[in-house]
Amino acid sequence: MSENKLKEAMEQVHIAEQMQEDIVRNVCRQMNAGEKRVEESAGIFTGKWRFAMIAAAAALLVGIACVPVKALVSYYRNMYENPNVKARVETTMSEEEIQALFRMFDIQDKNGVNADSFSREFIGTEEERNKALWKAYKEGSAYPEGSILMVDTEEEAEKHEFCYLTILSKYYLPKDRELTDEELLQKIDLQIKSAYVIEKRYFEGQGDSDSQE
Amino acid sequence: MNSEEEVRELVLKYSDMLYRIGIVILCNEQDTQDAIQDTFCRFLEKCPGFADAEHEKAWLIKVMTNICRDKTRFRARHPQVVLDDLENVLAVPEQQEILEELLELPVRQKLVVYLHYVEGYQIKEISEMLRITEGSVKMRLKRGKEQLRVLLGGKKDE
Repeated sequence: MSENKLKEAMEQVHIAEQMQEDIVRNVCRQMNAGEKRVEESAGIFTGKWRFAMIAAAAALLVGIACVPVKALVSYYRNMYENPNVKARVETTMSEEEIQALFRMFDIQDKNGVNADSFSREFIGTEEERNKALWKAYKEGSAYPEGSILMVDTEEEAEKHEFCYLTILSKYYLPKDRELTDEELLQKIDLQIKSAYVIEKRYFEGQGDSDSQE
Repeated sequence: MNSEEEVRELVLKYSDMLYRIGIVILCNEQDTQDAIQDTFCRFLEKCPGFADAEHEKAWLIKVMTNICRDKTRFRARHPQVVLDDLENVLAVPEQQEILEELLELPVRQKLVVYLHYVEGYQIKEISEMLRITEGSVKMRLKRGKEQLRVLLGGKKDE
């Protein structure tokens, strides 16, 4: 293929005058109205379950049991764009782990999961420590030693104090004690790794990574 | 507040380029229009100061690609390539074929291919724009070009 031919072909593609006019009109209207365009654009808010993992983060930050995913767009972006976070997941995740998360998301999608949920709200110092640990994780100064236990059935989830139910994207938290720092970090780690996998799958495309290149 | 004339001037200057980027990444006119609008609104909101027109253009490309990335990120799967509207503007069948194959490439490859071969950006510039290493840019270019050759039936450079 000649690069010149590609350039020539692309240069035949022009925006329609009517579309230009529509854009001028819409931009003027939006600027005048001060509308929140980006956050309200269809392409973002139809994301549904893809924000699920990040919804979990904010849910725990605000201490509620479940949050709608669309409230967390900016949180997601800020988190993922952090270089420490990106470096952490890119150096610690194996291909097997990535593929396992792909499969898990497929199941959650089929189950209509739109957001993470939790077995209870934050108690005691959990909310404060969770915020501090998110900050520490993003700064690269705190990571978990282990990984959260992931189970596939509700029956099994009920048997454990702290685990993650894969089919519903639900975190089971201890009933009669606070989460430890290690447990909070395990939760954060899963949320961040999930965000990475989502990014990889839906933007970078079809498992086509630089390492494979 | 920006006047309509100022907005129109901005749109006329850059919308063609942003439209092509949107089509390449999103393969969809409506989403492309939304992304262009978002890009211009962000530009007008932030009023970033630029040393020259090239910096202004690079800023717009970067914002546009980020917005397109957000849109693709939250789709269940990559959209079907719809070229019906483009067929009318591409009179030469070979051009149609080239464009179709470009749009079929993975986003990460076709964006780099587009920025390098169509917009004329150098590898270092693309690296800075997309915040990826120069090695990644080179590799994506190489693979994108190879895949285009395969898709186009092994045609070599002329």
